[in-house]
Amino acid sequence: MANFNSMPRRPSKGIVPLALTIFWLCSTVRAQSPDTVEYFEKQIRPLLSQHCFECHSHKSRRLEANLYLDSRAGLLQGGDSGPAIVPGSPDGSPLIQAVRYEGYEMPPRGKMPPADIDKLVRWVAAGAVWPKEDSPAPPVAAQAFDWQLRQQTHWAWQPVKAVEPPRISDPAWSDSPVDRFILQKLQSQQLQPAAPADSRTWLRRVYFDLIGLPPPVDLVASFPKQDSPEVRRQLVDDLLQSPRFGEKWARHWMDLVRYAETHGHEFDYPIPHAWQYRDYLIRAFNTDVPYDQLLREHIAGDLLEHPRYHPETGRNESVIGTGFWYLGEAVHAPTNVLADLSTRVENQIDVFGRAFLGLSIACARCHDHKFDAISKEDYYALYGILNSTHRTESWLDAHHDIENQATALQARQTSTLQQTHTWLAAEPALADDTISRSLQAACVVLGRHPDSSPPALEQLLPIAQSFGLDPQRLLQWVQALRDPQIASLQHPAVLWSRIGTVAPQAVDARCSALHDELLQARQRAEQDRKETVSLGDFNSNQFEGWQPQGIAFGTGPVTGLAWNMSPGSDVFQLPGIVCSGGTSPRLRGALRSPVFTLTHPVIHTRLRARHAMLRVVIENYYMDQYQPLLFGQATRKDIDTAGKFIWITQQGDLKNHLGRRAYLEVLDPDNGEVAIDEIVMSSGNAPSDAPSAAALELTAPSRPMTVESLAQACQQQWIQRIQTALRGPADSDSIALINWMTTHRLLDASEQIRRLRETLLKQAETIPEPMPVLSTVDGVPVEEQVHIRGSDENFGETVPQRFLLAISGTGQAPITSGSGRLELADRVTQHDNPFLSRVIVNRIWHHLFGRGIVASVDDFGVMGQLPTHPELLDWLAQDFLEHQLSLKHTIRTLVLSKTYAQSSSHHHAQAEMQDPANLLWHRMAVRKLSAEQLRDAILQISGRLDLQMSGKSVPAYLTSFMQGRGRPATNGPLDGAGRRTVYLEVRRNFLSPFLLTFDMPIPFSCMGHRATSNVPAQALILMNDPFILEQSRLWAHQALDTQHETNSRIDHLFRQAYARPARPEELELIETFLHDRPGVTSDTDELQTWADVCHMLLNRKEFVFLQ
Amino acid sequence: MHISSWRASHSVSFSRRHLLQSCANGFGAVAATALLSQAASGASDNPLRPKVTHFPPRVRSIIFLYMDGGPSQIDTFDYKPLLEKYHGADPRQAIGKLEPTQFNNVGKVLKSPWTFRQYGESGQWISSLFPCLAQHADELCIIKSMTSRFPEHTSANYFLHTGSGVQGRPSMGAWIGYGLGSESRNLPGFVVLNGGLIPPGGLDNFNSGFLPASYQGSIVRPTSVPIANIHPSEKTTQLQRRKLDLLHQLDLGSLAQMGPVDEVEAAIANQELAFRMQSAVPDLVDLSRESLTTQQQYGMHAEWKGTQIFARQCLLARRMVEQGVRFIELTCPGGNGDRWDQHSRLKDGHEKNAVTIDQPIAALLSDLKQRGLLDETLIVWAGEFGRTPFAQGDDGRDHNQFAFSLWMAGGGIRGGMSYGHTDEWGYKTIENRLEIHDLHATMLHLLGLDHTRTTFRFSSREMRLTDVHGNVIHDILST
Repeated sequence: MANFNSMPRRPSKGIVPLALTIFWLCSTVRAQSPDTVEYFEKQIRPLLSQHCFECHSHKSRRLEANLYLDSRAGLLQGGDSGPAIVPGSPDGSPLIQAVRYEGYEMPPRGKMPPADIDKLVRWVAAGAVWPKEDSPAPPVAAQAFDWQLRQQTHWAWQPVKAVEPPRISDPAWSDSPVDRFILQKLQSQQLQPAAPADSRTWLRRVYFDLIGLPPPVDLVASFPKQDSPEVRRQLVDDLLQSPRFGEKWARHWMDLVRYAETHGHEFDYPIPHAWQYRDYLIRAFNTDVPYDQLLREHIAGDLLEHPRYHPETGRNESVIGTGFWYLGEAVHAPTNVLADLSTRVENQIDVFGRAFLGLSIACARCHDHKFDAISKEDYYALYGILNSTHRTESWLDAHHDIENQATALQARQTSTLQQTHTWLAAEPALADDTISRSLQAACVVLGRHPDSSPPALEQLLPIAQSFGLDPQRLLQWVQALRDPQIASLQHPAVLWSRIGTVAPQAVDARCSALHDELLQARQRAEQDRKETVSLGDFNSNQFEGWQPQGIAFGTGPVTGLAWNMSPGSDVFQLPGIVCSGGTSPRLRGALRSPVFTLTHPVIHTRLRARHAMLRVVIENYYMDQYQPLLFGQATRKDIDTAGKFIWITQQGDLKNHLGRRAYLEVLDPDNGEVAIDEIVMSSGNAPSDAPSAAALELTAPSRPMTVESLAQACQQQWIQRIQTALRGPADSDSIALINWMTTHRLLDASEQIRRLRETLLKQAETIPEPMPVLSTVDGVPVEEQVHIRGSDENFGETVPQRFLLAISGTGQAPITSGSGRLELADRVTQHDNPFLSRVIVNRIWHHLFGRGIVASVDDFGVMGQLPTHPELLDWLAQDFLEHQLSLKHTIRTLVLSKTYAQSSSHHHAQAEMQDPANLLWHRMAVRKLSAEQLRDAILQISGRLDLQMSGKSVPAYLTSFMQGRGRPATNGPLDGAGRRTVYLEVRRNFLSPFLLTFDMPIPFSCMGHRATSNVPAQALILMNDPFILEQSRLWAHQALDTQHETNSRIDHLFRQAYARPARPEELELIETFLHDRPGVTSDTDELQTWADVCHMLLNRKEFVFLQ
Repeated sequence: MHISSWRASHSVSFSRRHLLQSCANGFGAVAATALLSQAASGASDNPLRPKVTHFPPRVRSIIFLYMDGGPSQIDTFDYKPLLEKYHGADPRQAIGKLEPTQFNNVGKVLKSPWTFRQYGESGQWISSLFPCLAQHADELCIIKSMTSRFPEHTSANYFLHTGSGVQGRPSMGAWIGYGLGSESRNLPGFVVLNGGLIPPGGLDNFNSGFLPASYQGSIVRPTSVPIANIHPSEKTTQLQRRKLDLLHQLDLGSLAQMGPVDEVEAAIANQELAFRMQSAVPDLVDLSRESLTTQQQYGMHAEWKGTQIFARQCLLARRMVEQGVRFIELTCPGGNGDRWDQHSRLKDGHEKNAVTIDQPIAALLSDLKQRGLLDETLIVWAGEFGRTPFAQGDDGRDHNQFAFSLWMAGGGIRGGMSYGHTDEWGYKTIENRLEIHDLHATMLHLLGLDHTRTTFRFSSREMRLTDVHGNVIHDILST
């Protein structure tokens, strides 16, 4: 059984450094003893008074951190983060850490001189003597963090209320509940809603909002005539059904999860398969996956009992959602991997909290949340969940094809093994004295033909006859005894490699020499095992706490007779191994150890492998795959052992990470296999292998040692062992014997067995390829300790995994197995979690109206903004819950409202004065197109748009200004191959300047609200960027081709760009421009002239803004 | 046509009220605050003018000479004679316990291959790597006790530039633009003069993070296309003007339909600013009108290619200071084998990097002084960390975040002094330990900004360049 430590905890802080202690001892001789009151009064009290009392005494104008430092009681009672001192232990005293600037930095205005710090250290070390005196006032107990009070006093934690839409005096305006809420507020301020926008303005608005593209020209022409509520409803339904819808709305979600396809940092390493997550989102939005299901999939899609399958590909969709956890920045060489882990987890919790809940949970990393009902324990409860979760690749199976074929193959394996059993049970050689005779005869042959060339059959004939054997079979025995494999002490037939060719009188001596050798080997193996820590030996029928992922590793270690499906290797698996290729080399899989503390610098693994990988994952760190700097040899890639078991060593930089938590990962990520025999952690060489027990038994010195006696003993032992193995669990000696005998065709059944195996191997090759995606996988749960003040060296109490108390309460069932993500997903998506529905309906409102009902869309906490229309928010939330959490339902409701249909014109002076920020929605907002809408619209009107969906991203287009490490060697196309922006590659360190300038966010954390900036760089791009010029020309080309008359051409361009015909004065302006261009004669010049017109039409603000 | 003239002629009401409103709400806002000059919008009630500082500023601009890769403190400004005595010794015996370094390939104690001398009246020690700069010893305040928290480039670069080791935070130049607004008529407030190398961590070192995009650093190259998309696409200015006039008239038509929408008005104004930038920026980078003497002083005709490039960068920096650009960062030219990151062949690499910058920086100091600009400009010379006093391998030095040197000069700074001490090996600080936050706090202070009050609400917090840290280094400020 593997020897894992019990649940590892973080190492505690070290002892007082020796140098400091000596310094202290010396210095006490000349100063007052620090354990005296005199020392305190002369050395310490003045220091505290000078540096601390301003903020930490009864005289403080504002007490900081609830900490009093003007009495011993105050010091011992401590403040927000526990006692300030531990008398006798300076290093364990936060006060001393603070003045040393380790974590805290006190006093804040500058570090105290070292000599003063030393005085405090000495004073605390000597017990923190303080004269008996009245405390200035009895220290008030620090005000405890009261999450219940905070929960009760802030609106966002309250349940979503069932609200009745208000009655309004003017029901004629609209019967939509949404409008009634809006109108009521407007009327309460004596304001009226704006007039409805004209049909074409509404059309352009709803097209950009729902699918991110301008309306087609023919619709621009026909729509005003047909416009009616019914037509609008139908149009909205059509747009919601359009595949373009998902392409628009998935991008909003990508802002929330800081979507990118590289990890940024120094070399911008790739995030494999990130684009699969993007396609998953587009499909999910298009099929309107219920929102709670979407969140469940994000949090725990790999763990769902009933995952969602793609209706066409039949692949598991749910698992792809979990990839979002790993879309963040990552560091290739953190010298402190634990600090790096804390930063990664903080980012994950920040994204999780703000995207799904509108809560800044990550603020509670260092201390209880300053304002919201979120404690640091809440934070570390989530930290524990994430730290019990591992990053992996999942291998998706279309229509369960792989699984079904594997099951069929396994059934075939079982039936063929039964056949094999039958053959072996009936094998004549295992029932008579053939083995003994064969061994003796072979020794005779070997004695006469000591060289390695095979003797001719006729030479063997007399010997075969004299032993009653078939000469061909005898030849095979001879070859079997010459097999170099049996020279190994691990082989049960090793004896015959030593005595095969020696003179009879030497047999006895050889045999006892071998026995001594075997004994020594056994002792050495036992001794070596004592000096190592076993991380797994797989000698039981259990995985021993290791966790398999995928079906490749089967149900447990090999115990009885099992096919070895590794081509070119033995026929049957050795027992006591775990193997990913037992069914087929084409299956992918991973096997992970429980978390253990890295106590030794070397890890040895005895394995057989092809295209396999071994990793020591330290503190969940994964970037060593790309860049092993500081993690050298933590990962061994593409291991190939040519069908043999050998020891593979991982050491290198492991020595720098001793004391860290780690787990081992055995990966079969390709068409190959890995079979693990044993894994140990040691300080030196790999342990030596135990010798064959069978050989040891045979050579025991109690018998007379002749070839004949040994051959008889062997026969007896081998037959007995093989028959035992056929009846039940096998030992490795018996399987090694069967393999050896089958390979050398020493049995009648050898050839049949070989052929059976060939057909199995062929069938194994037909299993289809899986599709790899980035995902999570559960590890063994590790509860996390609170990191005091966010430190990675100083730990507090252990917190069990759970969700926020202020949402799911104190009665949460304990998480007993797995990471707790599944439970987390359930708790987050409880319909009575008020953040579940409110946050998302508010986001939808924000995207459609330009500002959320809660303007701070990612922060519903105390520091966020209050809802302008709280009842409307609750009505929308409730309505959303009642409609299967359908995003399309809420979107439809909103875009069909009169509020949405209002004009955006700023002409109503009274309303502008009374409601300048339009908080009451007295008109629609004028909004700027997003970077994606702008680029996609340009491509559409120029005719360049390629609506191909999904697949690997179009490589980023790199301008000459985009330099730096990790720059891709080849450049992508200027126009992104005409694909929609959502399909362009997002490289963290090489973000598109075009998109960035138009406010696509830098992907570092949740960004529900994009800035809308207005900078000259935007004008420079629209004026001079080669992409714009190219598209203007294409657009002009199209217009020249299809519209042959100037006015109709201009009109056409206007309908494309602005969804309206050109006004007479506009026609005139453009005609003047066209005519006033002397020298325009040729067609090329005409194209350029029209390209100039198109160029300016694109630059026009009416194009860039949505009214 | 200038924007104010067409506006007057079309008498469109230009209320900025909404813009102000939306600024207060943290929206769109942006509105080119950092880029638009008073002149661009013309109106006297322009909210986009430079902002009021917390207290009177000592300098108007900062030139940040970024020494990419981490120059070695013990080979430049932190003279440690003990290294000569112990040269070749085992550092574990000589120095004692060593901290893990990035590569952990610890060699012997390595003395500096350069000689140190005292310069100026102040007698500051400077190594023979900087013969020209050494002539300005009395103007330099050399800080020897700077530290970083990160021993690898990218995090240390982010830390130096943004006060945080992770990606995506606003750069110091962006904070300064946010805090001060801009004085420059036709130029961005935060300019990165890119000599060729982009530091590890990429352009995010110069980004605006969660601040509005207008505060992002503009990459300017001392070449013929200094800023992306700056060259007009039209064959003649006249043609472009004609196109833009058409555009203006169309836009005014829209505006009449929409009513006075501030965002649209601001976008129209930006069009004009962009138009002017097209000529202003190429003019600015056209150094041919500088006198031959000036060109030679800076090293534009020096033998070493790197010197020529850095000379252009330094001369451009002076011209940008004259134009009122707030924050000008210079990155190193390539072609020196590597940045200042000499994991091996220290002598060769540091010499090439030093000869690249020495003459241009010295000339920049003289030039600014002569023009009376040094008093209103702060020059900061810094890398992201220092290097080890012991060798990496045979002849390199590994990263050292425990101590490194930087210098400042210019307005508000006491020249001819050094501040802070390292141990006798130059390995760790022992006196006046400073952090990047302290540098940032001091830079903001000299610009008239209180770093604790220069905040931006993001992620439910009042974010600062200095996070919750940082102290102004008052000891180095002149009275």
